[in-house]
Amino acid sequence: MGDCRAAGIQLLAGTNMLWLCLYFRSLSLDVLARGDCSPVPRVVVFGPETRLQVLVPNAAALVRGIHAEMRLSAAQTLVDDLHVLTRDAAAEQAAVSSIAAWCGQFTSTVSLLSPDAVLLEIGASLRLFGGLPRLRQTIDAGITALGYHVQTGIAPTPLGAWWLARANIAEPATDNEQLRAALARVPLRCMALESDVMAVLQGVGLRTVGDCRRLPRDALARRCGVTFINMLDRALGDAPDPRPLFVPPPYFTSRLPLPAAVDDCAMLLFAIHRLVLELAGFLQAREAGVPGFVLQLCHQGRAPTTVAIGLVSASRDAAHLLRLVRTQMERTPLPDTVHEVALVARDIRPLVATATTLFDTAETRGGDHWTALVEQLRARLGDDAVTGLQLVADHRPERAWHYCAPGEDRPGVSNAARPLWLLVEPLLLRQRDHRPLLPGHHGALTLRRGPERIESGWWDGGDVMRDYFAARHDDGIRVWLFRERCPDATGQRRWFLHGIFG
Amino acid sequence: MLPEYAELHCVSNFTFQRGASHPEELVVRAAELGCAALAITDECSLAGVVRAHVAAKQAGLKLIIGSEFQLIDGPRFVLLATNRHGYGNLSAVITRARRAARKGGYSLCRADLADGVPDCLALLLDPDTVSEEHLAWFSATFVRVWLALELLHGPDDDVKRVHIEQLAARYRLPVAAAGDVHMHVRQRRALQDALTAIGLGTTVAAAGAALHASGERHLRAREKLARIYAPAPLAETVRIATQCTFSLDELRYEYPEELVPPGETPAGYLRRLTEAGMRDRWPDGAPEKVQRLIEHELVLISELRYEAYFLTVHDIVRFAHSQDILCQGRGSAANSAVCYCLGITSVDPARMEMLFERFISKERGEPPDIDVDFEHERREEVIQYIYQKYGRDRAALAATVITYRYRSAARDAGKALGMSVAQVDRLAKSRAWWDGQRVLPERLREAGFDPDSAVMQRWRMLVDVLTGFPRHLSQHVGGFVIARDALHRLVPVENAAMPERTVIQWDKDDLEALGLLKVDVLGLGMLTAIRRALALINEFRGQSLRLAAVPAEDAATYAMIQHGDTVGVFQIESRAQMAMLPRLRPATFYDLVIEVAIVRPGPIQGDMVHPYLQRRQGLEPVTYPSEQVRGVLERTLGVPIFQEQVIKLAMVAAGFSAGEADALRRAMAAWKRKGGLEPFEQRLITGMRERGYDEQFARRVFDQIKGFGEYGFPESHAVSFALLAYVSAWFKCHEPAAFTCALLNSQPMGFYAPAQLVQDARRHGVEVRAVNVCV
Repeated sequence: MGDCRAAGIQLLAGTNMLWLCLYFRSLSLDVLARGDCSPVPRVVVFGPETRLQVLVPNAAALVRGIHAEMRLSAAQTLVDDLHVLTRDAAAEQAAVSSIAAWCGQFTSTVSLLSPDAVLLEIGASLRLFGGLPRLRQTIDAGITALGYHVQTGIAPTPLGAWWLARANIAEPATDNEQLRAALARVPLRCMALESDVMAVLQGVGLRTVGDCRRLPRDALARRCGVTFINMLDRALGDAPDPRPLFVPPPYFTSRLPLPAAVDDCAMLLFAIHRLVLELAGFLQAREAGVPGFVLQLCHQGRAPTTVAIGLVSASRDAAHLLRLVRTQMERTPLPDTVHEVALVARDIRPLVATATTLFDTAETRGGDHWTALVEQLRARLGDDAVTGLQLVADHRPERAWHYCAPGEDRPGVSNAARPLWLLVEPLLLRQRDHRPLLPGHHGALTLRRGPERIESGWWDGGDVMRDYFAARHDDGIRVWLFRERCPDATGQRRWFLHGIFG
Repeated sequence: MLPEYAELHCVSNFTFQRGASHPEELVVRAAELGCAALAITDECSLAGVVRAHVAAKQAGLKLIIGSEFQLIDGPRFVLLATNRHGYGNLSAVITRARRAARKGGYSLCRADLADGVPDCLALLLDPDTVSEEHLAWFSATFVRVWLALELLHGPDDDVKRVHIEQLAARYRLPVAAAGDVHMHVRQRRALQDALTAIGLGTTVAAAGAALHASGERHLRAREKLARIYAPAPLAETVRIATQCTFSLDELRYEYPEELVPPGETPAGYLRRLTEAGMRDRWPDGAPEKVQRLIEHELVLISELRYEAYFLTVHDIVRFAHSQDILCQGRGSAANSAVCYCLGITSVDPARMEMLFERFISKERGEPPDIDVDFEHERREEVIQYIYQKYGRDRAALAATVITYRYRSAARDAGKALGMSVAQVDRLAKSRAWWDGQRVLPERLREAGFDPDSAVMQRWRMLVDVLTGFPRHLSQHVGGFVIARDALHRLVPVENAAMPERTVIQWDKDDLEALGLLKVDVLGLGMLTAIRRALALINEFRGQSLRLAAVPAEDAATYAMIQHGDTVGVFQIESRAQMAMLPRLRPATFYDLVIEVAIVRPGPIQGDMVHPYLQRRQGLEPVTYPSEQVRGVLERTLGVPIFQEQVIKLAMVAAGFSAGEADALRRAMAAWKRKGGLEPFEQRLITGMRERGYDEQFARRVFDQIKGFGEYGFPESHAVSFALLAYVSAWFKCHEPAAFTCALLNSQPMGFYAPAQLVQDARRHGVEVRAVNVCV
């Protein structure tokens, strides 16, 4: 008992195990609000659009009298400027996974307890991290720095740790004796029972786990089912409780929605700091580093602003990464308010835990040549001069792409023949007899393919109505033109040059 | 010379969240453009074709019936019906596809089309993107196949054209031009994009490549088409159109055959039943007037071939009587003496004025609409009888088209434009109920929006057009269609939201427009209560009182009514009614008829109530500008109160023909929503002046007509209801305990809650004991 299978899927519970459970009691709220620390009253709502109810209020809202399950309309009468957030279950799931990956820096045995708890087996880590109180404090502080409210419970069994966490009983129970004593006080609702079992137990006047244990086993089994008895046994250490091992994803991606749209750099950095800490933990768990990562600042109704952070050599030092972010952000103008920040790091490389460099140097340490080339180009020409291109699904050619970090492009689907070179701004052409003339070239333009009609974009003020043609000039140059479908003020339909083939 | 062209691939807004124009709009536009024909080919649906058909007849456009399909394991294509048989096959295919999937979707595979859908033409869409295997299958399966060439100024039109021509040569198939039409004019582009976004559950900005690249998918002018296409594909469309000769008018007169016993004709059988009914109603012989009336009706019914309607309803009513279910015909059917003889209605033609033309008229050319109220708790038995008699494959409930109203349009438009849930919510609730159909800028300002901002202007534009668009089909409450042969060869049948329920793709208006056999089986709470009361009284007193035997013109009952003591009495129990009763003081049955009809928004707005009361109380002289007018208005003291009076006035005083007068009645009903009374105004006033009535009288009559609006009561309807009002009042007066008990047992119904009924009973001295629950 107690050995880890090579496949690493299941872990048998054995002696000398100690479990720490992290229970996120306000996960729905933290996921959406951790990017902003201002004391604004906030609530997360759920339910159908016409009957919204409060799921979780934050501290500022609680103080003003709002509680869970209250109707939103009622809450809004108590607090005028209540900030309302819609529950994002997918983000919650992603957050728990992210946190589990982050926890990997403390132990290799992490398990998820859905929907809002993470288990760590810390028995083997105590010495490395300086003993139980210090380890616990480190973990607590780290989780809080990530922006989550957590309750921890420590017990020799996973379920025991979970129940203690849910009951917010802070003293650790390091052996089964202490566990039994601690669990005696734990109320029934912390056991997360099925409603019918709960009804039976409450119906006969039981209130705590201790109460349950005092009843005869067989009678309890008859009324509540064998599953319930098994669960008690596993919680108290009388039966093994194998837990599936959490496997972290191969790369890192995390989103942080901002509860209120932000355009202030300092507030953005506050949010980004959280993400960088998550990344650092993730990397620490895998003993890896990143040579760069990408921040996406999402705006409403337009393409996100991407900030690519590149390093000369891979690192996982949170402070260092954050400094780089700050430098980059100072040079990045924000076109609009930001409502969500995301951090993506795909290039994860093994990094031995030595001290990271304090200063960037111009040396590269192995790695692929592509990144080195980009680093050098950036160093010489400036970061803004080196970008990648990414396709966007929009019929308007000028909106069908945007800049991104080098190497960040995703393959897009485009089945229309488009020129290789697109002018940033279409160029107005002179006409003779309604035929366009290419500036600086004598001779005629012959229209070869077309018209390809594009009429789109009415929803954001950028409506275009154009007929595109591929044309060939007498001296061989092949261009992409369009003619506007509506005449201008003088009654003429204008011709523009938009791209060049080849 | 412009080439002839028929548009063969076109979806209307009955292809939900794809089509951006009403079928009528498409038809009108196609006619304007001089198209040789238009095919409405909604996706796996025929829900919009009847509206298109009606519009096409008016516009003089040839309409072809078809449908578009996407196979699970095959290509996208269009099927066009050539004749009745082909149409039945098309409808059967749609039914099979719809029944195989959940509501709102369909599922069709190649195996389902193994018989090649005879008498339908097949048009293969996007043939240049179809695999060899599918092309070969398509060409082999269908008898008459075309390749569709849809040149919409896409990025590679030339390549496409050449490719399709090559395929045509290889497979020896003709090529026909088509337009992939989604809207009638290019200006609907924005709405069409919004519909795509709504269908995907996203915003237009995020819909990306799912949106069409241009607004080219509209009905294009023939000059345009001549520039884009060679003459051959355009001419091919006309060849196809010529082969399609089916019209929805052919669906008329397909009545169930079991209605008439073998060896008899429908007319003969109807006459036999009517005569038997006459002997029943008037054992001493019917009055002269009634006999003439019945003869007149039977002749007209026979001429218009409407026997089946009467026979069907008669059969249902006979069933109800055999099961002791109370029922009564309502609405304009009460104008028919034949209906009275058949036991469908209870309005005695010997005692009432009948206007048969209100019910059926040659000019209108519409089949009769016979609505029957049944006891609401036993209505389901009647429905099951219909299903059982005709079979579930021949009888079905009509659909109701759920359309976008202001709130849903505001919500969906807001979401498509990327507004937040909170904003959308505020917009949706920003309208006051008296605003009418338009979106008022003030209302938007009040809700905190700037109506002139670009976003809000777009939103308003979308909401304006979207309102009235169909959203989905739902099951109607009681409208049945009954087919002669399999129903699904008449109209496609699809799954309803509830399991084990099906619905046809046409609604009641569509059925009426096509002259299909439709019966309305409605429920009325008061009938249940009356039967219960009768049963209680008979049991308690050991009698066998029947509804028809309730003593008429009982003074005590009228006295009670005149005091306004009418809690629980049908139609005259509301507060407004109770306020009117002591003023109007009904003393005879006809007074009750007037009472029922007069306390309505129509007469109130039309300023008829006051003059009537004044005249009744003798405070105002009753004068008639002419003898004809006296004939029409005498029974209501010179004040027009009923729809039939207005019609008769128009005929008698302004010289309208029966048909014109009926058109006036319809315009009256709809003018608040659609306008359109102006032409009648001129005609009416001129007509009256020509016959010597003064301008003031004519104007007053017209104002009253406007006031009628949609609330003017048909007299026959008021009579049917007054019968029930009288009977329920008689019960209340003479058997209050039984009556109250019956009302309570039939809840929910009526105006008052059980507590109020009990209190009222106590006030009348009925002993009400405590609740006693026996287990």
